[in-house]
Amino acid sequence: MKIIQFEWKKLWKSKAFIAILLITIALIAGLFTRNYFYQDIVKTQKMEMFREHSLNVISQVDADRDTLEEIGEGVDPILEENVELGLSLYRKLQELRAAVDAGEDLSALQLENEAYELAMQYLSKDKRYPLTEIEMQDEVKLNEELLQKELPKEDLQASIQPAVFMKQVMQLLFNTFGFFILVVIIGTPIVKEFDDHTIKLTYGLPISSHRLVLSKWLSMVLSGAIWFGLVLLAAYAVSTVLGKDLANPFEYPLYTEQMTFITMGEYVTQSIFFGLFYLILLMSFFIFLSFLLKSTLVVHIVLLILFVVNFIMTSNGVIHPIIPWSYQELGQAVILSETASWIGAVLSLVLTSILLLFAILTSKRREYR
Amino acid sequence: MIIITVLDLQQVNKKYKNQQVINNVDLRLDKPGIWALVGPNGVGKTTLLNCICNIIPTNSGKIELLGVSNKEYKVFQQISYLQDNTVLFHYLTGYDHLKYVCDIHKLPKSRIKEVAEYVGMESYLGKKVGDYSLGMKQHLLVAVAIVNKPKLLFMDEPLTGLDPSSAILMRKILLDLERQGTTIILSSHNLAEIDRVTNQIIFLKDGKLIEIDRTEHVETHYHFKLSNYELGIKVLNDSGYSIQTEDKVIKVDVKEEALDQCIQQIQNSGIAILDIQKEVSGSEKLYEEYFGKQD
Repeated sequence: MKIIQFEWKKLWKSKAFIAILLITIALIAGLFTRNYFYQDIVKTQKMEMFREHSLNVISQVDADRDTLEEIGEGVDPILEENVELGLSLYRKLQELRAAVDAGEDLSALQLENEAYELAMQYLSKDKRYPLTEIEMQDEVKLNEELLQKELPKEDLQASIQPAVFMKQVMQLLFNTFGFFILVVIIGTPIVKEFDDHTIKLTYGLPISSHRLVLSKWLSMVLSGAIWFGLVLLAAYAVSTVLGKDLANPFEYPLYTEQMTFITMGEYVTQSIFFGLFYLILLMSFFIFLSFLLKSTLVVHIVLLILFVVNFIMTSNGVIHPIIPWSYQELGQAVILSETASWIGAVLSLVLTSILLLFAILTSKRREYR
Repeated sequence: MIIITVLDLQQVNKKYKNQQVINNVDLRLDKPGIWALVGPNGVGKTTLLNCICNIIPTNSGKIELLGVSNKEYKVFQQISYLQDNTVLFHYLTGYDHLKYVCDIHKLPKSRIKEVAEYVGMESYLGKKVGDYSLGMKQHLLVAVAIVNKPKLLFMDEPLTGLDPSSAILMRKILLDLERQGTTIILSSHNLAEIDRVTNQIIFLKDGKLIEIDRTEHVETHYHFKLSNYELGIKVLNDSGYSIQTEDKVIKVDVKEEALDQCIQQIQNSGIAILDIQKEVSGSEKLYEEYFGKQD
């Protein structure tokens, strides 16, 4: 515990950690402000989108009407049906626009579903609609979930609903870039000890290798957890105090990669759970590299290469909940499936133990330049 | 009575790439005291101390401190190593350093104040090390090294960068610790300072250690000013003394125990002794013998 205290003192006095905490808070506050002022734009964009849909439909209806005028009524009953269906869809879209404009969120959801039902019928008549049938089915499913939970639909990239805002913040910070910056800032005071030889002060003291390595690792994990917790707390606090006041925001449904639903509550819980396991693994990896390479620059370069390679892999679909380093892109990994993978957590712990063991063995070879 | 060997090096080797810095070194120190590790720059003094304190590994050999292998970290509860000032964190205070070391040694906080007062650094204990002068850093290093009241203390160039008053304080600390039973092994270039604190010298040359008790090699000369210079030379030559002359002063090579007899012989010849001065040849002469005269 005493070494951890000393490591923390070093971290806090190096000021970089305080800077990253303050920057994080500023970033979250800034994002919330942006979302707050974006609400009217979101509404306008939504209305504009449905206006485009309705224009698309009415242009087809007009064309069909012109054809009907040319061939006369009763000649082509299918065409007449299409005109009727098109007009119904057009009217529904107009109603939907009015509901969105009036801020009647739940009515808008109901109307949106009804509009998509008509649009799917319209598509089946070999007519055009800006969305595909699959896209509309997905929207209908989501809307039904929202209606069931009596939650308004949110723009996932510009919401002030606490749960949705938290997801956006987590996506912004709990990723390759965020984790890399975090580990570099937290880890630098530790690896730098080898460069400037201050590690020799500790080496001359009665401290066992395992106590030395574990203390440094634990201090990194705790510091990482502080940042992790601060992100969640700041996002929750600002959106709860200043955001939308809803009874059950964390019930908001979210599609997984398998097109099943998890709630935002489950998303946040799983993100915290796997995020912490990833931090544990990441910090042990950094400690191992530090004791092995004993050079700040080399450790940072190796780490950067590995982060970039892992980012390329995850971006190209090499991502799975049981692969611990998949959690470098935490948001992506969590929504891969409906249920959390305990195997990923267990593997993280096994790998952490192996890396720390190697770090302890490396520490016994106290050679450095 | 069981005598615990303070330091025992057996066949210790340390090689950097193709350079054999420490070459099959054997050394055994059984008695407490102050030992000076002497050798030219780059000969491997710091490497040897680092190996002994397990800061860096040896290539082969066995090292025991106070009868325990240096690989046993617990032995460092009774041992300290004063290293160069690069081991200090420039963004932490002197207090932070001492608190850390006290915490590791499980010592009470009161010990910090005690040791800071002893080395005279209480006025700048709360300042950042980055703002310390070279001498202040040396004081902190000493405080860090002695805070646990070690039985065995290694010091790498403790006299470097010290102003005269700090040098006097350092000498006092060394002699105090020796009196308290601490064995001190210090490396230094300052041969004059070494002569003031110890007679026990270990030369490091070509990766080998040569242990010397300076008292066995010391040459004591007495400088006589006599009422009759020429007669004095004749008397001393006739008595078989080895003499040298310079500016009417006769330099006689005579051991301490034979001094009275020498004086008696001069006085018996009717010559009055106007002045006697003692000169002891120091480490510098021994150093020149081992390493050649330095320009």
